[in-house]
Amino acid sequence: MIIDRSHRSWAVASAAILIVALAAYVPYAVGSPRVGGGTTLGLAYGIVGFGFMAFVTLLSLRKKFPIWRIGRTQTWMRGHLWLGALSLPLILLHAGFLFGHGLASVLMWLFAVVYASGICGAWLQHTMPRRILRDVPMETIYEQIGHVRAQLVDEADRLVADASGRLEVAVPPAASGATVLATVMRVDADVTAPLREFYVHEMRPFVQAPSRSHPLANETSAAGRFEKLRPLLPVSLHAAVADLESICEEERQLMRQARMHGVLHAWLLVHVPLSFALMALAIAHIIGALRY
Amino acid sequence: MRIRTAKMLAERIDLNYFKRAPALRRWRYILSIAIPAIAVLWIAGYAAAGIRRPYSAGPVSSAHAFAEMKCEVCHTSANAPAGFRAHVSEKACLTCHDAPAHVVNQTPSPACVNCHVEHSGRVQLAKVGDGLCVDCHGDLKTMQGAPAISTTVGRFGSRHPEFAAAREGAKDPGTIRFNHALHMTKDGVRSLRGIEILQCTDCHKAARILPPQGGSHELRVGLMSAANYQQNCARCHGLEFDYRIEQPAPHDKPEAVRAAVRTALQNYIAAHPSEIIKPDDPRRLPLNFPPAAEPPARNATEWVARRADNGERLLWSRCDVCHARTGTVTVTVPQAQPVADPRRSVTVTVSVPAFAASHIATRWMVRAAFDHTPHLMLQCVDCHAAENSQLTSDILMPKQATCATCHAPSRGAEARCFECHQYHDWRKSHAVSPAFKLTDFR
Repeated sequence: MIIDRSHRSWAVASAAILIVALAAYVPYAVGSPRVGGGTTLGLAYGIVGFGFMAFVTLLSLRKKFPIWRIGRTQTWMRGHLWLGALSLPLILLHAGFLFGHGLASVLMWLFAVVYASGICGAWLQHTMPRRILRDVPMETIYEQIGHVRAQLVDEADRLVADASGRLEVAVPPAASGATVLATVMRVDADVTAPLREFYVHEMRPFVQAPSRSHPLANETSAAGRFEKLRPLLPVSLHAAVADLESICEEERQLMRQARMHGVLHAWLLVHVPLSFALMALAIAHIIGALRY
Repeated sequence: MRIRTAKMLAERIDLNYFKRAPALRRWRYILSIAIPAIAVLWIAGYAAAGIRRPYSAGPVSSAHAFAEMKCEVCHTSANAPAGFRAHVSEKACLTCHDAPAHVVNQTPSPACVNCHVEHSGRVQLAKVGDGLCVDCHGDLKTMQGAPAISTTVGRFGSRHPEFAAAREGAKDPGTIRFNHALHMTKDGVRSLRGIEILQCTDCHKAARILPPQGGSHELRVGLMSAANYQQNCARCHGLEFDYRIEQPAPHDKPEAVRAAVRTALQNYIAAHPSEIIKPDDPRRLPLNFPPAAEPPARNATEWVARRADNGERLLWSRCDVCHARTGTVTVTVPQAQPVADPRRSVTVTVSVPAFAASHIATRWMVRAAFDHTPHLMLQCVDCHAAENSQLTSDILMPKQATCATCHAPSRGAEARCFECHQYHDWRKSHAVSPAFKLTDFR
């Protein structure tokens, strides 16, 4: 989610809550002989902080049931961002800025990791979509990348076959999830040999199973390869070479998209599971605090 | 030029893509179940084993460290009003500790745990914060009657009132004439041993006790003992009254002194009857006691009476050096009897000088505790301005600002209330009956 002017009201409300919380804390910390979760104000901070934590955790549930008429998902997302941001200061005020001991300490460290991953995620979600839009003009649905890749292989196979004639050559099956391709090719002219050689040994493996270490994975290096190929082929095949170069570029964009998608979503592997663990232990902490 | 028709673009979409979860999402689901499950199992494992350590808010104080693994010693449901709750109650504390009330007319007293906050590490629980003290003493109210102390007391160094002894207009109630400046002169004072330069510690000694286990180190604790004639003054200010009597007169009430003088003389002449007719040696009489031109004594009683009168005159003049004479007082004493017939007992009324009670203050700050031991590295006069004091009425106790030189939060030395004051009135403490067995802590 991009944090823009539409977040102003949330930002102002969060700042106001934080200021009020801090203003109440100062005289309490200075004048009270005891600062911590067991005091009245400390308990109040804990209740509000836990309330915010519970709300931000419910975002997962809200996403599971998008048709529920309990506010727009966008509003929930904003609440997730801003109330989540407020929850850590409130919990720190609750704990008197101490990480505590035992379960309390585990909770605080968990919270610190969840909070840090959340901030990291918010920053990524704020910046990454724009980068993807800029760097991946041929962006597709992430889950379709494998499918599109198989289509690119199919398209490239047909291009080369059309350019060099048909020759029966066994081709290994495509990656799992993609349409299995059984293209056969025939070499009938020596002029197309460099094209076939380049395609079969360099380009096809790259398009089929791209690797960052492959020469075609680098834009400059790939351009060089195609520049060397063109003089070896008759002009009539240059259009096909241009198309193959375009396919390589699309493949590179798919690689980039997959990588950026990984960066954009990997933090969730930390944030979401630890958030649930945090909530489970927070409930245990509440029960323990009420008892002892 | 690649031609991408609408059909080709449409074919790029696998319509069933949403049915397959990508790896990232799949792992997110797995971890979202596994990690919270591990967390719950961790806490449930402790609960199943009856270990409450995860719920501990921190290490307990040094005094309670023996029960750190036995939460139920203090956290007992039986002590709490409800079954689930196991908060530490007053009863749990009073099982082991007797905590006498602060003062009888105080407003409702706080619970033990309000001041003695546990689970704060290996601290001393008696070292409590100022907040609770100031909460009441900042605007002191009592159940009945007016408070006998300041009602607006704040933290030391800020709103703490000046020490009563050091306030403007306070005077030493003592009546002993003593000139500190005269005794502390750098040129020294004349004594039987010649010129002596006196140190404060020559007269003022700290009370001393040995450690209970009998170590070789002597502990010096507490307050300075009050000045004492025998220990501090007699060496120079002797009470000898007659050159024949080696034993000086006692430092006692005038009637006791009178009796002691006469008894000493009677005993002397009984042991030396040949001296009854012998005149006094003029060289050994005080300069202001010239030998009387009178005939020799006729008997021991007369001899005693003559020397006793002289001795008493001498002694009363020596008393006047330090004590304030208030007049005379008539006392009944046994009449001096002839040595030959001591069994006869007849009383007689005599007049002796009366002196004001000395009123030496043994403790200046009665509501505070002070220990000289940690202050021994300082020169006495840094706190007690005695060098220039000439009057008995001068109070030589330090002011609050003197203490605050070191005892301030910014200076490092402890400045919290407990450093000088105690909450519980330990004079009213009682013995506590044992409530646990050793096996309870295994």
